[in-house]
Amino acid sequence: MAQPEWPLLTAVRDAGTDDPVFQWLLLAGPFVIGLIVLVGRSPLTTAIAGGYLAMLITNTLRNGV
Amino acid sequence: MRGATATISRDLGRILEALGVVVFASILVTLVWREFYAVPAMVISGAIPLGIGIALRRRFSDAAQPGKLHGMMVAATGWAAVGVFGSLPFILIAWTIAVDPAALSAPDLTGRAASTVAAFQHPLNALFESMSGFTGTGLTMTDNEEALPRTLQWWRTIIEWVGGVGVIVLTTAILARPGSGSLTLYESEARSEKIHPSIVSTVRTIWWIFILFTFTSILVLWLAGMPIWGAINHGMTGLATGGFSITDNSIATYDSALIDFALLPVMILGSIAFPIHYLILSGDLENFYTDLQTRWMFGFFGVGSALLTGVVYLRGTYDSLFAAFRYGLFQFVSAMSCTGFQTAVDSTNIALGRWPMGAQLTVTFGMVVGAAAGSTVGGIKLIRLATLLKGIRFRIIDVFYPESAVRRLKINNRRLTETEASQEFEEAAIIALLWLLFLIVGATVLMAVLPAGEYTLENILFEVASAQGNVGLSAGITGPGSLPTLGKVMFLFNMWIGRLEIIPVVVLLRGVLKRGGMY
Repeated sequence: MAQPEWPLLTAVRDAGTDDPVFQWLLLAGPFVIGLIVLVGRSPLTTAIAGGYLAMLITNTLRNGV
Repeated sequence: MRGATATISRDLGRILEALGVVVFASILVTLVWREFYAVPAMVISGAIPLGIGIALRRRFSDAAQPGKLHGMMVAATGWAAVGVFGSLPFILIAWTIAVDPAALSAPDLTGRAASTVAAFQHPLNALFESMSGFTGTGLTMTDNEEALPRTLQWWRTIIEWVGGVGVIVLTTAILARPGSGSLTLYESEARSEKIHPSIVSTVRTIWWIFILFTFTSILVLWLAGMPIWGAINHGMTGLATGGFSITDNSIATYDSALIDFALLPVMILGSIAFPIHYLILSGDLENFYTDLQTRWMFGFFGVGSALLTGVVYLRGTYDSLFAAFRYGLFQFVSAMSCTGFQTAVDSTNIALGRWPMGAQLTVTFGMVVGAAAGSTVGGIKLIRLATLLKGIRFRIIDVFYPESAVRRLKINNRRLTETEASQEFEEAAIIALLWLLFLIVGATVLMAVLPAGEYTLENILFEVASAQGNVGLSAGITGPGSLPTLGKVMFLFNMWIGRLEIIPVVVLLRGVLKRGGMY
């Protein structure tokens, strides 16, 4: 699937590995933290933050297997 | 020499431009926290380096590309310059609060908060804080970090975060074009690793990894129970292995074993070389044990923490084995990763400066060695220790072989020729020797300027190793009032040479002295 092209974001995304999950995590990071700043500690934000970390670890391990 | 001045000035200008951009970007934090009185101070702090930077770059735009000598001089002057110009927010905000010019509604501080901010009215204290931040040291002139305006809390964090990767790496990522002498500058900033053939691509990948891990670190700490502002600041300074905190007693303020343990992976991430991170993220997990530095790092963390735990437990510093393990593990990883977060302080348990001598020397050893080259840590670094140990072993065993035997020294899966082995061994030996030499110089100066009998020799060695290793752990010597002026100047020098691995600073000093007819 072709990924959308935005001038600055594309440059940032392409600087790292070719893995789309990591690229997505990099771009989603500020939004997750921004959500926590706005909403505070709640089951939803805790689940999203936990999911973010779980996705990072799982994808790293999946790439290695 | 005129050509050299032009080249150095042009590249110094680019570094100052990048610094100006960082200051202006930080004004966003000032606005978010509604500290409007600090806006003029931040604008001036950004405009000065940006203006000088643009002027230098334009004036010397046709200067030659940097050679090895220029690269070292640019690195040394560049790091000194960001230290100087990075002190402006501290000075200007402190004076804004003190005199409140133009009725900016600056806060009326009292007690410890007032004295904490007022310390930065003195330019030397501000310069110390700035240099400590950019070099990722973390020793501070702040008495109570919680009392600082949020803008200054953020400024301390962002300079450590940028400094962890390197100001030249930042400048190269933003402003450099391929083939513009970037490799020379990159190597002069104590980096040699390449992820891609192009150095510009390499530094952009380094930033990509660093930013991804920054988000990760922030979320780990927040999930462990840290408030989000603390998680943002400690996540950034922890990953950069800088160690500045926004709380009065560093990480001890939280007094949470969960937060202590959550910070361990953050500091460890900062201790692994960026190319290894890239390989691991790309699926080559075996680099955790095939890479010599990473393997040794985990080994040293394990053995050092066990040793420290044993010492503080058996000497009765802590009553329970768990407490000894919790503080021993955290403080050794914090020391060897050159982070400098502190959980052992007087207010919650027993301060590092009052730990048994064996424990203090174990922590000092960790600070001197440091972790992996190519990461964000300071110290001599593991690859040099490995080169020295393997080189010595190679030389000794060589005696037992016939003269005609062809032997190769093997370091980190590389088989070195005789010439390569000699070169690497020589470089490691020179840097280790200079490191120890300046450690002794710093300790001698400190012994001369500190009040007699107030601190032990292990306290002094600990503090100097912390400054030169860019660690930031303190035995209680560093502070705006407790450290005499000459001691502050000495530590500025220790932090500067420690970050650049000594040689570029020595080269710059030789160049300056030679030009002045003194060498």
